[in-house]
Amino acid sequence: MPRAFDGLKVVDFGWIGVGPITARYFADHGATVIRVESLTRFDGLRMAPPNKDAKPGLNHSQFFANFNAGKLSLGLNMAHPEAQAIAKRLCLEWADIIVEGFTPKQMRAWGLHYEDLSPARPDLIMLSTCQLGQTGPYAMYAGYGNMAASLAGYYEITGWPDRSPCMVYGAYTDMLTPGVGATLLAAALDYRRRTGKGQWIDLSQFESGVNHMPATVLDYTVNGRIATRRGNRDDRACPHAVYRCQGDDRWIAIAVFTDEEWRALVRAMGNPAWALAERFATQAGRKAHETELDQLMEEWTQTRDAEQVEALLQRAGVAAGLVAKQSDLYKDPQLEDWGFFAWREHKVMGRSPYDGLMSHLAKTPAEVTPAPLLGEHYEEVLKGILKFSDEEVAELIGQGVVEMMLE
Amino acid sequence: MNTDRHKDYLLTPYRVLDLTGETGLMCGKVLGDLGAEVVIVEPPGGHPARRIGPFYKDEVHLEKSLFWFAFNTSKKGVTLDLSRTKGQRLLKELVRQSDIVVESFAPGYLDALGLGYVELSAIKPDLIFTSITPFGQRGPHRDWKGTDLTLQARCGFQYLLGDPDRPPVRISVPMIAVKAGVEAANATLFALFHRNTSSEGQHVDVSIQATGVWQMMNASSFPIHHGVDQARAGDRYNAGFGNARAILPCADGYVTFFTAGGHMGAPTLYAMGRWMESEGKLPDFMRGKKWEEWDLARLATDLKAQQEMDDLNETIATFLATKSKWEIFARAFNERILAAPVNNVKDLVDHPQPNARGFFRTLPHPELDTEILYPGHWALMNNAQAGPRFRAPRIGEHNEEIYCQRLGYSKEQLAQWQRSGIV
Repeated sequence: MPRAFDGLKVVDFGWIGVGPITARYFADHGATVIRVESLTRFDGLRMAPPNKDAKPGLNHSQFFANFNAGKLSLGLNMAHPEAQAIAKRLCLEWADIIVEGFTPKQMRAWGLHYEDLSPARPDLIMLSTCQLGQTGPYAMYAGYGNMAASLAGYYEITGWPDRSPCMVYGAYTDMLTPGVGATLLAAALDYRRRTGKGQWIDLSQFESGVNHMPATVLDYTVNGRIATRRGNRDDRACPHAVYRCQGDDRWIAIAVFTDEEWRALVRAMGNPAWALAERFATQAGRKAHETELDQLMEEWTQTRDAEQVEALLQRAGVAAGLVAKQSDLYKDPQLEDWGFFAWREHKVMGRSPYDGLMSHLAKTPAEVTPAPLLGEHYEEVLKGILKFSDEEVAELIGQGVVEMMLE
Repeated sequence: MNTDRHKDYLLTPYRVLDLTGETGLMCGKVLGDLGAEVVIVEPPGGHPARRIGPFYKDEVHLEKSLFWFAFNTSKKGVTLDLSRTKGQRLLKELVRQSDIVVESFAPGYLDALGLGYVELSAIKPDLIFTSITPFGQRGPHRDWKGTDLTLQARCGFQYLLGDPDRPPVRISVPMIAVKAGVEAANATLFALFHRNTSSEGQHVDVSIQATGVWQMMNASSFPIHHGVDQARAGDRYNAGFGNARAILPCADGYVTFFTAGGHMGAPTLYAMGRWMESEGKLPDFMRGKKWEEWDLARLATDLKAQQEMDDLNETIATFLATKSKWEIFARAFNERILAAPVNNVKDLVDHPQPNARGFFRTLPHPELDTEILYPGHWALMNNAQAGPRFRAPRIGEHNEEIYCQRLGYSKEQLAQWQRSGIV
């Protein structure tokens, strides 16, 4: 079947999270994506866990593999002028889209800044993404998504009101920004198709983070209210909590937004006397006695199996969800039906589960294919695309311009 | 680059019909902010999301929901009762003139009304029809209910958040459907790209649960490769890089600090050493240390290494406890330290960086006799702009424009539909 971006050409100079994930959308949808990376200064994710058999190695990381599935890899030591020249040829002679995620001065240092490339290629589309954007007094702020997530306000609103903030697992803006980047690139491609004009897209990871909480921002800019962490509570719902269940660290999330849902919950629990109390009959009553209600609910859940409670309540029309551990995801019949985990054969890691698709396009289904070894596709890129001869390629490898680690 | 407000928008030629409920609103907002003409179709009397707070000056009112304002910028609005035959006929007329329909009804609901993908694509063959639902259009859980809390649980993300001695938590504001809306926007545009090269429309099926799994960074395959589940660790960093306290108290709040060795962490630790030395507070054990060689991979198995990590972590915590958030940010910026203040919403609105970039922008709300400050552009671009263009629609605000000027019905006809509750 055709894929949406068959024939599209992307050069990915990203590293760590945002750039590579953004480029992966296009690989899944059929584009040829060349990930330019380096052995001398390898992407930190190549060693990062989880690793095949828990052993770190440049071709052993599922963390890297997930974000780079379906790409070709070209290893270049960019300290060499010849490496910079090869990268520049790829951009000028081949690419439709360039993705990069360095702090702002790096691409300029290599002669690969949008302004270096656009005179010869006014139709080029380039996405530059960094923590705080390409302009402004703090453009050069360097960090990872766990910094941008803190700056964008996410830690302040995670955890319990009587405790210090909690981390949001990982590097949260790295999870929010790529969807924005992919959206902007697709829109820029359409604009180019109609106007012939390229685009330089300056995507701030901080701004992407803030753009995902617009109502929280308006509550401050209009009402002066500063949101903070509140456990699992929500003004609109009660019960709205996570309750302990039978077993080791097993929990059920339950969310009741209407009195009708509450009555359905009470029936599903078998109409226990405590739940029929008048003070719990209305949302206002439940809210007024929320702490007590939470204790009573947990007394009911904690002797029960979380998945059985989930199924019982969903049958009754009540929103309930097992707090799934990662290992539960592989047993989730819905994710299975969706085909979420894409088990693919990686040349070094063997059969491994790739995080899969968030959407299904009925007529142009995306495909997840394995991640490359470091520098694996030097022949396809150098000979196939850039028409270097065998001798020239051998020389580039001999000089350390072209790098690889193929085991 | 600059913030030139006269630049083109990227999606100007396209028309979108937004039929979504509370969990689908973000998709249309994104497409509208990028320049598409997005018309949100509300039930007569107003969309249920208008009842969601917070409210303008805390006045509970259908025209004052900040939730509504936030997720419906750059949209026009019409009212229409889709449960009635005449309403369904009018919707089909609108679909004929649209490129994209976005909806978030329970799977099968629109089909039952004769308004599903099969029926609508029969009258508009190149239509892109995007469905955003908790679990997708098929599968054993497709009819399950899902809210932010229960979906954050079911996608695996929530298990990773919160203090170990208490239940897992969600981020305290709804996030999962917001992310799903953005993912629906890119999937929709991918389908549109295909349409423009093939004339072929299609159905796009977005699972909020699946978009939620993509919040977990590297966690999903730990049980496969390491035989363990990652678990919540409160204020500590817990992504398999060792286990250090990542949120530290400072003089006026909290900061996040990334204690790591090797390539990633060494520059930070040298810079902290210089800072501490300049105040005569550098402890001997940090002196002369080669941080590049300080290997975090050992932490998993080596108790001595974990002790070293804990000592370092506490030493830095003690030092930073006397500094303000802003001092720490400025020092982090100048010395490339992996640290950042734990900003609250006031801090981030006041921050000089987004303001220098013109990120926050005011939109006029003449009915409230005010302007409201919104976040902001989606990116800065040299040949285009993307961001909120105008405020969310009032109930039925564009009925006349769409039904009379666009579809050609008379004002009398519109008035009659309004009297009979169709519009």
